[in-house]
Amino acid sequence: MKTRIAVISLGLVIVALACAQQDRSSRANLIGTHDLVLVDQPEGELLAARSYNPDGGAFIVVGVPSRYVFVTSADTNELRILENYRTALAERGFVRAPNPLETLSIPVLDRPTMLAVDEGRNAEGARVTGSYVYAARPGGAEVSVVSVAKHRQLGGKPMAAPAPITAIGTWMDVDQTTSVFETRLPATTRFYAATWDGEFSAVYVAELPTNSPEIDRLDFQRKVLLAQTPITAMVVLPPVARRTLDGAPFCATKVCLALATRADAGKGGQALLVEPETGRSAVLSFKGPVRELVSASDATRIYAILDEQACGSPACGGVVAVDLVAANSDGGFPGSLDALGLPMQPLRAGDGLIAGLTVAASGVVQQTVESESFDGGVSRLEFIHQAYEELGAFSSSNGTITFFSGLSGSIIDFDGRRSTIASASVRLPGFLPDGGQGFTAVDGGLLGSNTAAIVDAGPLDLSITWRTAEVITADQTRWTVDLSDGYLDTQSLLVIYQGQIPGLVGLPTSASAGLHLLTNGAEVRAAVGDLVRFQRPDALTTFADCGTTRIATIGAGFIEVSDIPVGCEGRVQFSVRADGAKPLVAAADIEGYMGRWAPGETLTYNRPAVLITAGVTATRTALTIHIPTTVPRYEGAFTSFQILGHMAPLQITLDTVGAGSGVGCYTSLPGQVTFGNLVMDRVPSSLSGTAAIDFRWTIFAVVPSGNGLAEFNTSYTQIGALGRTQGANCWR
Amino acid sequence: MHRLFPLVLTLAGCANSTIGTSPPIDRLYFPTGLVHVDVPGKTEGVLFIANANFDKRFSGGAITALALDDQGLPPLGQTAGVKEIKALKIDPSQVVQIASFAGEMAAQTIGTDTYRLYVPTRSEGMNVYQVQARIGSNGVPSVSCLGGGSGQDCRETGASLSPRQFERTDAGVPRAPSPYGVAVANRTCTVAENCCPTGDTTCQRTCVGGQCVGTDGLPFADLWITHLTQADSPLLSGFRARGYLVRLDSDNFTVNEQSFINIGSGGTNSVLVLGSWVYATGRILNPAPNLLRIVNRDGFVATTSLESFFRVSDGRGLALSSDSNRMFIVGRAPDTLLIANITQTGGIPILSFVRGIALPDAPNEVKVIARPGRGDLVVVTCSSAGSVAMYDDDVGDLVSLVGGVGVQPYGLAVDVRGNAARIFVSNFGDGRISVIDVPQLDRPQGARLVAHLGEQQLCLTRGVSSPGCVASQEVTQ
Repeated sequence: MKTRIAVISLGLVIVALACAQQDRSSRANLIGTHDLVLVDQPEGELLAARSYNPDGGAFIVVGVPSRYVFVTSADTNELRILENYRTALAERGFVRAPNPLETLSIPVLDRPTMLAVDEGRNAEGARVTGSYVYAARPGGAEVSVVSVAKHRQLGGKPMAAPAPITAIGTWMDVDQTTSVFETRLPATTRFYAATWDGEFSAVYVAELPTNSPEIDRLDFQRKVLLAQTPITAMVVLPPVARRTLDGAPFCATKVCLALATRADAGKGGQALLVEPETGRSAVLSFKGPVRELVSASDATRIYAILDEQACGSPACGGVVAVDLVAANSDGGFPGSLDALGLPMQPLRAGDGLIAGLTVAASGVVQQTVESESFDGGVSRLEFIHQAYEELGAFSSSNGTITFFSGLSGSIIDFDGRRSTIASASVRLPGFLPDGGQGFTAVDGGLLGSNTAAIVDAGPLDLSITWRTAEVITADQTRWTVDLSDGYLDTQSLLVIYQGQIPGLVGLPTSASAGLHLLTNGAEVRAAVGDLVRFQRPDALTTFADCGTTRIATIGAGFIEVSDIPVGCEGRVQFSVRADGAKPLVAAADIEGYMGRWAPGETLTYNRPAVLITAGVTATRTALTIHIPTTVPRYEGAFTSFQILGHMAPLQITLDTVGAGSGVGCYTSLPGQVTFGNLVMDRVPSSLSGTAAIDFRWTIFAVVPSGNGLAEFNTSYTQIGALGRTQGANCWR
Repeated sequence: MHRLFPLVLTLAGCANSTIGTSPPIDRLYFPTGLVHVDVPGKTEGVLFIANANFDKRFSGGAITALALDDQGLPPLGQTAGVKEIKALKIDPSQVVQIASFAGEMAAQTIGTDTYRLYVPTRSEGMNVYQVQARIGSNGVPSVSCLGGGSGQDCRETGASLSPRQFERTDAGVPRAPSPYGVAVANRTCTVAENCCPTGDTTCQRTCVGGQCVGTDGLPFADLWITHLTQADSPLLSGFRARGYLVRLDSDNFTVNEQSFINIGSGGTNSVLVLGSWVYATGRILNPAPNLLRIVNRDGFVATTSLESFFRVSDGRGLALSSDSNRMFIVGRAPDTLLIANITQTGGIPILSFVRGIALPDAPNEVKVIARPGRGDLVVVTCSSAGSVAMYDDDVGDLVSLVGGVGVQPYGLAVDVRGNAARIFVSNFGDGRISVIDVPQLDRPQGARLVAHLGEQQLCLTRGVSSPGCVASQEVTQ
C-alpha cells in the first residue's frame, strides 16, 4: 500500500512539475527530417527588427524574423515546431502538446517531405510569412494545409491536388506601402503546385483566404501546361519593375514562375521564367539542367543546383546563378558574373551531392582578416563578423555546409591572409662516378646540394590583395615573385633548367618507329632543339638511359629527332627536356605544367580564381616571376618555391562526439553525418529570460542521418567541426 | 523460475534440427527472398518464396513454389479492393525444407522449364542451398533437393560457408558467417579456357555458343554469396575481423579455401554481377561502412569510398539500371536510394553518385523495372514503414508510395507484362505476400495493393495479444 501511494504521489509530482514548466519540450523524437521552413507568427506581436552591420556600422533592414521552425517527421507522418522565441523565456524548445508531457504533433499526409509557407515581401524587401504551412510529398496527389496560429492541419485531413505533385510554392501580395514594423497580411494568399501525371506537367494555383479558421478544400486553377517533361523545381517570383524581355516589360508587374524541367533521365532539361498571365517565357541560362531553384531576396537573381546526372558525376554539379533583370529571346536571362566580371563558376563542395541551398540578404558570418599587427614577424588573424549582401550556404551529402557570397560568385575564404611564398630553395645535381650528373647517388642517397634561399616577403600592405616577395639564393641571385591572393592553393612550384616537359615524359617508342615519335598532342610544349632522352629496359631499374638526341621537326601529334643514339637499338620509351631558347620549365603540384621560359624573362601565369577575396573586383595575373639571368645551368637543377595559398573555404561540419562540445545528432555512426535542406535567417531569442530580444543569424539544417535538426549560429562559424561551444546545436 | 526460460529457449534453439515440427506446407513463415518466373500458357507464372522460420518455431525454413494462376488473384489492373487470399493451394511437391534464417534468393535458368534456386541461410552450418525447380507440362511447379536430401527435406544438402575444417584451424578462417545475399551469373566465353579457373585448362568445361557449359552438362554459372557478420581470426577471438565474398561453381557446389575472396573490413549485404566485375554492398561498420566494393574472379578487390561522398551508415539491396549505366543502392541512416553512374573504360569501373532520394523508414530491397522509351522505374521495400516506394528516373524523384503493404515488407519480385507490372512483396513480419499492380508503367502513381497471398501469421510472429493478431481474429477463429 505504501508503495502504491508513493508511486501515485510521484506521478502527481511529475505532472505538476510538467504543468509548471513552460510549453517547450527538448525532445520531439523526430523520424525522417527532410524539410523545414522558418515561419513567423501571423498575428499579435511582430518581432520585426533592424540590425546593424557589425563591421560597417550601417543599419540594414532584416525584416520579420522567424519565430518558428516547422520540420518534418516524415516517417511518423507529422510536423513538429521548434519555437525560437517566446517573451521572457530563455529556454527554447519544441512546442508542447496540450498534455505538457508530450511534444506537439501535427498529423499531416503520409510521409511529408516537402514544406512551404505563405510568403511575400514588404516595402523594404523583407520576408513576411503568412498563416499556413503546406506539406506535400513527391508523387502524392494531396497536400496538407497547416494553420501556423492553431498548430493543426486544417480540414483534419490532406486536401486533393489535381495530379501527383513534384514541387510546391507560395506567394502573398503583401502591402508595399507600410513599413516592416506595420506590415499586415493581405486578404488572400496563393499556393502553387507543380504536377506530373506521366504525360503532362502543369502548374496549378489555389487562392485561399489568408487566415481562415477552417479550410476543407483547395480550388485549383491550371496556369501552366507542358507536355512530356516533368517539372522538378519551382520558385514563385515576385515582379521586378525593371525586368524586361527584348526590351519590353516582362514579369514586371505580376508574379512569375521559375520552372526547371527534366529530360532524358537527367541528361537534359530546361529552366524557364514563365509569365502565367501571358504564357510568355524566357530561358534561364544556367550551365546545364538544374534540380533546385532558390531566389535571391529581391528576385533580381536566381540560384540553382546543377543536376549531376547531366554528366554522371558531381563534376557537373554545383551552385550557379542567373540574373533576372534583362533577357532577350535568343539567349534568355544571362548567367551571373562573379566579382571579377567573369561568368560565375559552379560552386561545389568536393564530390558530395548538394542537398540544400539557401540565400539570405545581408547575412552575417564569422571569418578572419589579416591584421596589421605583427607577432614575431608574422601577420595575425583576427575574427570579424562580415555581412554579405547575398550570403548563401549549401549543404552536402558529405556532411558539410559551405558558405558563399552570391554577388562575388565565390565561396567565402575563411582565411583572411594573402597568398605568400613561405620558403624557397635551390637544388643542384652532383657528380656520379662515371662523370655524369644526377640527383641520386648509386646507393640511393641524396646527391648534389639542396640550399635554402632567403624569402623577404616585404612589408604587409592591407590595401592590396597580392604579395611581392624577394627570393635571394645563396649565390645572391635575386628572384621577384608576385602572387595574387585567391588563385593558387598551397603547393610547390619548381622552375627547372632543362627540365622534363610534362606530357612528354616516359612516352613509348620502339626501334621500328625510327626517328618518328608519337606525342599525343603534347608536342605543342616542345621546341626544335629540345633534348630527347631514350630509355631501354633495365633489369635493375626497370628503365635505363641509353642516349640523347635533339628534336629536328615538330608535327601534329609527333616529333622527329635528328638521329638515334648508338646503344638505343632496344629503346622502349623517351622523354623530352627543354633546351634552346627557353630551357626553363615551370610546373607546380596542383597547377601542373605552367610554361617554359628563358633566363631573364618574366614568367606570367594566369588562371581563374579559386576563391575571390573580399574587396577584389578585377582579375589579376595569378603569378608573376622575374627570372634572373644567372640561374643554375645544370640539367634538372631547379629553384623551388613553396606557395602558401591561405585559402580555406568556409565549410563547416557538425561535431557529433567531441568531449564537452559534441551535439550528438547521429543514429548509427557519429562520423556519417549527412545534411538535407537548410534555411538561414535572423532568428529571435529571449535574452536571459527577459522580454528583450536578441537576433542572431542562424542556419537550420535537417540531418536525416541523425533524425535531427542542426542549428548553427553563424557568428561563430569557423572551418571544421562545430559543437556546442562554437554555436552549434542539434534538436531531435 | 522465469529466469530459466530464456535459457531453455536457447537450448531448444540449438537442439538437433531433425527434431520438431516441419514448417507448414500451406502457409508462409517469415518469407524473405522471392523469385518470379513466367510460365508459357499461364497468365501469372510461378513465385518461388524462401521462408526464414526466423523464430525457429519449426524444424527449418522452406522454399515454396506457388502456382500463381491457381491462387485466385484478381486480374492485373482490376480496381476492386484488396483481396485476401488466405488459403494457398500448395502441393507437398511444391515445398522443400531448408535450414532456418533464409536470406535472398537467386535463380538460374537451366532449361525451358527448369531452374536452380540458390538460397543462403544463417542458422547452424551457415549453409547455402541449391534446389531444383521444374515447371511441369501443365504449368504446375515442383521443387526438389539436389545432391541428396530425404524426400522434400533438403536441410542436409547445403554447403556450409563456415566449414568446420576452417573453424578448427589456428587461423579459424576463411569463413563467411551469416550468409545472406546471392547472385548467380551464367559465364560467357569465347574459348573453353574462359570457363576454367585462371591457368587451368583441364577443368572439363566447354564453351558452346558463347556460354560455358559445366561438367554436369548444364549452363555453367558463378555463384556469389555475401555474409552479414565479419569472420574473426581465430574463431570467437574477436580479432582480425574481415569479410569475404564467396564464389562457388554451379557445377560443383562445394566449398574450399579458394571459394573465399578476402575483401577487407566489414560484412556485406547484397551482390550484383556486371560483366567481369562483382559489386557488393557493405553493412554498418564503425567508423564507416565499405559501402560498395568491387571484386573480380581473380580476387582483385577495390573499394569505392562512396560512403565518404554520401555519408550513409549501412548498405542494403542494389540493382542495375536497364542500360547497365547506373546502379541503385539502398542505404540506411539516412534511408536513401543512392544512384551512382558507372563508368567502364576497360579498367576498374568508376562509380560516382549523382543523386540521393530520401526513402521511408528502413528500406531493404530494390528492383528495377525497365520501360522501353522511358527511364527506369525503381521499386524499393521499406520495412519499418510498411510501404513500397517507387522512383521514376524520368522525374528524378519518388512518384508513388504504396502504404499498408504489410508488416516488414522485405523481398521483391516483379512480373512485367507489356506496359504493366505486378509486384510481389514478401512481408517478413506477417507471413504474407503482398501483390501490387502497376496498371500503366508510364503512370506509376496508379500503383496499388490488390491482394495478399497467405494467412497472416501475426499471432505466431508477434504473439496472441499483439494488435495485429487481435485485429486478425485468428485466435477466435
